[in-house]
Amino acid sequence: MIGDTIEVKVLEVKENQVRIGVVAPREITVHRMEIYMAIQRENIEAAKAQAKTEELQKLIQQPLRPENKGAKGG
Amino acid sequence: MLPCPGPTAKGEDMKVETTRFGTLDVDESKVVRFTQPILGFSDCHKYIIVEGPGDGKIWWLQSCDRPELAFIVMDPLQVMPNYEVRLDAGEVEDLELETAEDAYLLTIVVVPEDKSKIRTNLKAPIIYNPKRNLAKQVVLHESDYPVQYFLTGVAEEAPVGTSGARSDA
Repeated sequence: MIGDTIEVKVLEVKENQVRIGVVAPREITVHRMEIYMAIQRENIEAAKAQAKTEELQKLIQQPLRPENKGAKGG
Repeated sequence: MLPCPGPTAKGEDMKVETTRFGTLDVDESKVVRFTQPILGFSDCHKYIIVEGPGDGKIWWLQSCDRPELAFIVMDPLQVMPNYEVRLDAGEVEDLELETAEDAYLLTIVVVPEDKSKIRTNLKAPIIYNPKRNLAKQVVLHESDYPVQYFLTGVAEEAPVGTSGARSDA
């Protein structure tokens, strides 16, 4: 459940496809729904795609990307 | 080292089965309870924080309910020092936060096969209150933070000719 109003369920997980079901009241905008879905997809991605500890070690030895101040604004 | 002061109370020892770390002996008081499950993982409410490699830059959020489930999390302030989160009253209440200083931020890191796509989710950080050991993944609808914030910079910036393998001349 998200905020007591939206229910998101993973209906099926296939090799590279996840089917998600959503039950939500009408006033929740499509835009918000899309964001929830994107976050859920990203969480699932995070849970399945992981580096081994040694790989992580290597990755974080590189400096992480600093904030891109030149990013274009809307 | 945890990203924040851990709980001080001592609880009972419990065992957490994990795929990645084997069986962990954990003080029960260190179990973090999610007031709402992480999106997509509705069956998991309890996690423990396991230190990752590299002196407090990365941690694992290991599920107590599913041995194979562990998220890599980081402190988003490392990559965006002015990162800001506004919680609504319901979230503050939910997490039993008394002051803003009690809230610690963690963002979930995705480490895909293609390491140039390593990224973290700034749109939906995990807010953690170590005083109560409560946490929640919140969605920042009012902000423009991206769901996919690439940590390598490669995906968004001009392509650079270098790849993973480097030879020092």
